[in-house]
Amino acid sequence: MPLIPDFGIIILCGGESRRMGFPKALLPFGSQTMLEFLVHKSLTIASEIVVVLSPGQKLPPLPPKVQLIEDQVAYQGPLTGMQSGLSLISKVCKTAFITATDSPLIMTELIEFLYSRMDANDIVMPFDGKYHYPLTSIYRVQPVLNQINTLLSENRHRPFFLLESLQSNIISTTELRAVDPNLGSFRNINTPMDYREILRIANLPVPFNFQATKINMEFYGVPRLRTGVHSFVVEAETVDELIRELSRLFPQLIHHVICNHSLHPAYKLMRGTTEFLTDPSTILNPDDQILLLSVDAGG
Amino acid sequence: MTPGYHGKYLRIDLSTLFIDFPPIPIGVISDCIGGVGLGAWILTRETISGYDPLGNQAALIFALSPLVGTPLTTSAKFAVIAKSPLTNRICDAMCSSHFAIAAKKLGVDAICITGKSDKPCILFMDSLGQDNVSIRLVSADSYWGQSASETESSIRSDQGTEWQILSIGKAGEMQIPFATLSHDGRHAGRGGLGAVMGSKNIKAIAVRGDKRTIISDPEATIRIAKSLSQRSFSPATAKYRELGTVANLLVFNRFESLPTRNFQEGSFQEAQELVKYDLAPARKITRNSCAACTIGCEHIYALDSKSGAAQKGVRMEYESLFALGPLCGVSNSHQVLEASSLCDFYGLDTISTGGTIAFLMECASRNLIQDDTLIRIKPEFGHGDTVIQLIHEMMSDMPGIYGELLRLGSRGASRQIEQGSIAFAQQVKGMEMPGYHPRKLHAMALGMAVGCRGADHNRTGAYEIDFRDHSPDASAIASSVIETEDKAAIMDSLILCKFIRGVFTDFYEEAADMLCAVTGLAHSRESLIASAKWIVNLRKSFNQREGWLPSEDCLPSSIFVNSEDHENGLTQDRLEAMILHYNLGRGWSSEGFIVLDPNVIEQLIITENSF
Ligand code: SF4
Repeated sequence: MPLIPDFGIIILCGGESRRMGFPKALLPFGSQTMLEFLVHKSLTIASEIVVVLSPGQKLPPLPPKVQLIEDQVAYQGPLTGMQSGLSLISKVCKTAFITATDSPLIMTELIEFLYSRMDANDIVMPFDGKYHYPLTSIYRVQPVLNQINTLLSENRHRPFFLLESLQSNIISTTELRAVDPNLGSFRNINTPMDYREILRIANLPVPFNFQATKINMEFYGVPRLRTGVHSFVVEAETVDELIRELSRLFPQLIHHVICNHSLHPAYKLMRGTTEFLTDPSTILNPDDQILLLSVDAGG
Repeated sequence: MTPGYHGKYLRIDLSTLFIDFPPIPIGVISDCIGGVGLGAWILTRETISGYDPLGNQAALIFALSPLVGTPLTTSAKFAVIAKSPLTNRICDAMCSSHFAIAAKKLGVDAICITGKSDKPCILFMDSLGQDNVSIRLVSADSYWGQSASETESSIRSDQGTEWQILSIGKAGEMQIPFATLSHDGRHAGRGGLGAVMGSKNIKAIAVRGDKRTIISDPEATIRIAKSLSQRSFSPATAKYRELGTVANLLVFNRFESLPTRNFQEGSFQEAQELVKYDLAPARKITRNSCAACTIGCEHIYALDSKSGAAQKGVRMEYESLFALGPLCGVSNSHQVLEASSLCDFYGLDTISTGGTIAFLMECASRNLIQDDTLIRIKPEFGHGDTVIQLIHEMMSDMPGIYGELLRLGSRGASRQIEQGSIAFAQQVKGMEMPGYHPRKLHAMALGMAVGCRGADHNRTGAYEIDFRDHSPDASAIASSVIETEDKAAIMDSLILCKFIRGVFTDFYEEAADMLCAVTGLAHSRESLIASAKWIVNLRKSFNQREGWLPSEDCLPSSIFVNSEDHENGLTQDRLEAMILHYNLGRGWSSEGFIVLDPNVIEQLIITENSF
């Protein structure tokens, strides 16, 4: 694949990884780490690669060509990381694609497609009808850097504000399906479950220490009737993950038992027969017996 | 006239055939609403202390509600109220469908029957094309011995299909104290109201009429009805629509709260055997619903072709499934269906029937039955054919069988058997316990112990607390039980089906809106909460008048665990602590007596002959 001239890729990897519980840059991805994999993929289309890390952050060994820059303050959000990356790359590139270390499924074809829609714009940013994707976007380096400096001086930290004053081409994700049919480029990793899901898509093994918590699930009443399943083993770390996993495994429960990624109030989850699981962030333990049943238990 | 009401009730003395139409004061209408509230008021004023529930002075009341006949879903219901021959305490049971609508068209808000016909008869009440209701008695000779549903169809085919019929089966004729009365396959099941009707020599009641009530705000009523109907299709009612109450079986089993082998255990190993009724659409013939209901919770299952039952299908509810299945240790689903169909045929309450048979089985297993004249079968747990045989025996006077003993119910039978067997009679105030094992369900234990009509799951709803996140604290449980009992009192007075309860976000607010729209009366959230307490007090005051004692508010001693084992069960001390909090929370004395403030007495109409 030919390199795009005057073009660099900035990889932000200074995020906190709080929900993941492990530095995302160091997550195993096949025989490499997540960051190594992304860097090698980036090098196939961009001559300049900048990695923005937080102060003191540990990184895997990277090719000497990759430039590193530390964020001045840790965990200030993407705009400060973008500022650091763009200021470093501004010396050698006119345009840059900005991504994050937790998007290993980014497709180079998608980056090229976005680049091809740059024309006279300062930004090319995907939009899925609900969300903008500033960390899957192309930026004209100098004008964007100037605007970021202004925004940060006004204490405005959201990348979305860049769209207020810069000329932007907003591309629908529907259009992007032509180059990335499953929109894998937009998948990122926030939780161990997201990580396992991305490994599954990439057909890679899940490292031992990231194997999911296996819990024993039991369905009663309507969930059982609709799925034809009574008890089974499912992988989830938290109640929230469990509900998402149940939606994935049993789409027939959506709108009837699971609505808007949470349980309909007519249903409840219980750990055994005594503990009611109402907080989505509740941690599940290996071999928990989790019951899904109607709130209306009598009759 | 207050919209939604006719403002009077029909009073019939069968002994003299005198009828009149006592007015219902507006204060009673707004405080008691209808259904069980209105019924309790009429029962109290129409009877005197200490009367025989099967005697001439006994009153049998059918109470309607302002919502009957409106487009509000699940509102086609009526309440039947009397003193129970099983408990000697107040009993109210719900029944539904077209009888409710037709009875309201008679032009009255309730019917109160006293006295006794000298011969078995059908009581016809007619207001079609007339200013007022007329009654006539027709001989029931040709219907005597028929099942309720046979009687209904025979009368309709003899007299015309415009009649809506309420009937008793053979158990009612025999005045078995847990006989049901039925309309269109729905039973006012608990407490022997069928026996009260049978004691009056009434095999069936037929009604028709054309008197309509006006609705205060038709537009608002239709708006509320539409919204309620829409919500009745939501996930909150899916359990009832898609599975029916039999879905409870596996849940209760999992919670070790499925009464098994006469409450000796809380889970039934063979529950999966019965599961096919939970999740086997192939076994279902059809789904039915009461008139004016958008939910349709009645799941009708095919009977085994080899069964001798007259019907092809039987409606199966959790309570029947538990009582004739696990409670008797029976896992053969065909036999459970057949037993349930037999109860329907004879007009027997399935819970009391199963409860009494299970009691007999436990007594037999403990060698407490030593009567050599009882020769026919050995009542052993696990034998469905024995359960079927014993149901037949209940209906027979043949010597050497268990019929006479079983017809007494478990408490009555234990008085005959003696030898401490009362400990295994799983009843409260004489009424057999429903399918909620109180050992683990402590709110339900309290609800059943203090229930005015005895062990009861419909007038309290306390099980809801056990199955939601709740404080284990005795006083918190007591407050929650009071809340669910109050809510049930309003639902049963409105009357709306309990299966729609999950769709309300603020029940009292919405109930007040409904009542305001239909009646124009100034109901509010607060006034309904006050009405609920009024209705509960009215029931309790009736029981108090009839000799209620604090010792009645208890559970059978075999339910309790000893104090070292309290983590896994219910101790008597804990139940007593909850009862104390309940009594105080109700504003009663610590023992549970309504405080005899003269104003309260007057308000509650508890004195004898006050009218
Ligand atoms: S939900 Fe069932 S019991 Fe209630 S009104 Fe409808 S059909 Fe009748």
